Amino acid sequence: MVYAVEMRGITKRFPAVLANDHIDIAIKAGTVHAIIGENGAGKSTLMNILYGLHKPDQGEILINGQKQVFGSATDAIACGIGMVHQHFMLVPRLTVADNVVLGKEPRKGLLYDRKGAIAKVAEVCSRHNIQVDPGKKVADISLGMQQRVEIVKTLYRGAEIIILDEPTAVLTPQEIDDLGEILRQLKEGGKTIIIITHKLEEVMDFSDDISVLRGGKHIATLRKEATDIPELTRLMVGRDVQLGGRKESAPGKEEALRLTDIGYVAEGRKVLKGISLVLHKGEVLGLAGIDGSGQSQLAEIVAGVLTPSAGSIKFQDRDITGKTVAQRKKGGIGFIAQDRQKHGLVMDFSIAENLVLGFQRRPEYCQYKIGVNSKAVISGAQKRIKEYDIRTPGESVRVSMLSGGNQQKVVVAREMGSRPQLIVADQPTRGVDVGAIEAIHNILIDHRNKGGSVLLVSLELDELMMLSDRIAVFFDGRLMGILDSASATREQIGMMMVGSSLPKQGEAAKGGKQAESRKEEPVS
Amino acid sequence: MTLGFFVVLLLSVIRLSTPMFIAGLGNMYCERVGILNLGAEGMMVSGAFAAVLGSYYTGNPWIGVLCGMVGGLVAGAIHALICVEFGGLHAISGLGITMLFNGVTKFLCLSIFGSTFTPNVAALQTTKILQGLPVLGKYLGALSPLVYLGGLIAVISYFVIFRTPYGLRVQMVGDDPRTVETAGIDVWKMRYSGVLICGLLCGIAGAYMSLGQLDRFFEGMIAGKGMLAVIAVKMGKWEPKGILGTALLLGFFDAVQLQLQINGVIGIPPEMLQLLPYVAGIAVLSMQTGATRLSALDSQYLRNKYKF
Repeated sequence: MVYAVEMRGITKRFPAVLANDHIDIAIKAGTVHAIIGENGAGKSTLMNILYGLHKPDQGEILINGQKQVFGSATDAIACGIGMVHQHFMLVPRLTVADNVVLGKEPRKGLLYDRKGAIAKVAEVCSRHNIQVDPGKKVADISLGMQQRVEIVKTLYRGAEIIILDEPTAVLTPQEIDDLGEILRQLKEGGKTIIIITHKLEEVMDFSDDISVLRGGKHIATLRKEATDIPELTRLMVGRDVQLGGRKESAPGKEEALRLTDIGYVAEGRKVLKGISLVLHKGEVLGLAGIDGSGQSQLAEIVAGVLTPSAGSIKFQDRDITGKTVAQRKKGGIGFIAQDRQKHGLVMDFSIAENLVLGFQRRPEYCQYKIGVNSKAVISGAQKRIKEYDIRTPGESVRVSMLSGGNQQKVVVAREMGSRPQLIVADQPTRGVDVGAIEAIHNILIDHRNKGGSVLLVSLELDELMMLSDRIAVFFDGRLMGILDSASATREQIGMMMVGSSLPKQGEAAKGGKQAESRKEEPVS
Repeated sequence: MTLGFFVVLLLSVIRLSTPMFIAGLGNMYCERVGILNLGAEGMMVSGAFAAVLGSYYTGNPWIGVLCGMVGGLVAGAIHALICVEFGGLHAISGLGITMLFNGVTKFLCLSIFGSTFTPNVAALQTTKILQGLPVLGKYLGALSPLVYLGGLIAVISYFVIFRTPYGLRVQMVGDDPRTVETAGIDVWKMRYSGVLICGLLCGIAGAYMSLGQLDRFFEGMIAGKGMLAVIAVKMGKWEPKGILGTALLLGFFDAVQLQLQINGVIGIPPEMLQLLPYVAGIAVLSMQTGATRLSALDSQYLRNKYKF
């Protein structure tokens, strides 16, 4: 049979890594084919090669049985390939139609035919039954809608093979369902769809065939019916994975952190309103809430990045409200910032340099009180790289060359390295692959078991329920209540996250979440 | 104050703002494709000198203007090569070009004419065909034809930017070159085109200053007009209308200081008065907060063969 796409012996080497190592993949026409693997497994590189953005060092590409050489994206587009990138390729200031027709604009004489563009885009949308308003500005539409615009963009260019890079990373559960519906319709319309992802639930929902990459190599291609999530996880990571870590003791009774009446105002808006909390030694306190409910700001206030407009913070019976970040670090508070690339790391610096960031004044890194002892920095880095399993060719590699999971491990290694009492972790596993998630979970739980405290912000309820001893739920800057995670249900937390302080059984479950919450019910 | 005074002032404003808005329009293309151009001054100097040379050797001022365009284009090509092709720092390249062409023109002027200023050449200070018009003729005819050419460029630029496929692409390259590349468009061609158009227009602006306002070239004659053009683009929010308006505003302050100097008002040193348009530019720019921004301005965008 003729495959829609065949990639044979694709090899691509970047200076520090072999991104693709003789990869052979064949994709049947009219199917949804998932390509899965951890961050840094080479999925994106492979797809960028297929889309003509990178040139392979070796190997060949066959589209519908014909050998093709792509010098640029233009060549790939001409072959009927379209790509929806993880970070949307849209210009917010312009309209949907402008964005869609870019590169193939309808013309009226010398001029750009704006009305014609809107009509054509509307026509493509209705043909494929995709809801998009072509006249709206991209800045004014939701992320889910923007993704649909991206899909329409590929269809407008006559794509028969559509690549989606991590399509669900930014979507809400409802939008993910909608995307599944669109993909199903496109498949029925005869399109071939390739999804790159590391989220296995979606893989099982969306795809017909699944190819697994690991460390730049093609590991296996399986039919969906013939496999399950544990097997795929094993193939992706190369071993069994145990998420969540193991709690070995009951949380302590001794107080580590006490927040009293914390308030925070930003741009005239009350982001936090009278938050009072206690965190004990040997305890993980999870902060739950819809994104933007104030939980991240609370974490930053504890870390000292933000200054509260009211209230006081007591850490180990000392008032630290007015202390700086540096003083708090010295006093034993570690902070894993939400955005590692912006606030956690200096991307252009080496791993070794990033590992001492904030601790450069410690005696072991200093030389004659003013200089930096580079030998100590390097040997310290080598030790941490081993201890925290940071996958890198060496300690002098720039952090920007690492995958997301390994970047996060650098942050965690640095913050843990100072043996803090309290770790403030703001979404520590966001955008990180499953192997690194496991490692980070284990580090946090290990810290707890040794009597340390963890303040954990996460948007993933499962993660919070697995790791936390207690869960504090936020809504609109208020603390709705604190639940014991052993007895709390997803439903209860979900209700409190949308502002109801007295959850009633059965009401929280709506739409796509129903099945999920039912599964969880027996826990309570 | 008579009506005559206002007419003189108005003509003076138009004359003084013309180089700023022609160069400003050029800079608009340049910045909209993502390249900062602090070399506008240098491109204008190059254009001004080349225009005088052309007119001097052929006796035809229009050939002079063409030469001015080529002069600007050469300076633009250097900027494009550094910033577009090799990913150099835009500000450094731009300032370098300004210094380079200040030096080169002075050197050439000295070696050809033996002096830091050129002899008088055939110029384009008035528009003869308009002088025949009734009533307004004597005013309209008193402006250089290059002023009208500038107006035409403004109108055409409006249509190019907002009404053509090329303009749509220009708008997008300045915001997000990667998006444009993935749509199958040659980002580097777009960026080259923007910088080269800028060189061309700056050349015309320079030619206007040497042949439209005067009939010669001398060292230091551009006197920061190119820098004011850069300010005008930002104040005008990268739109032809805005740039025209801002250039007229800056031109107004320039005209006022000239009038004050001519009328010899209350013993203020002329150097202080000459500061007026520049101070006005800085003042307006600093009042502008949260203005729309081109997100890819002053960014490096390298071809794949240079990455990895």
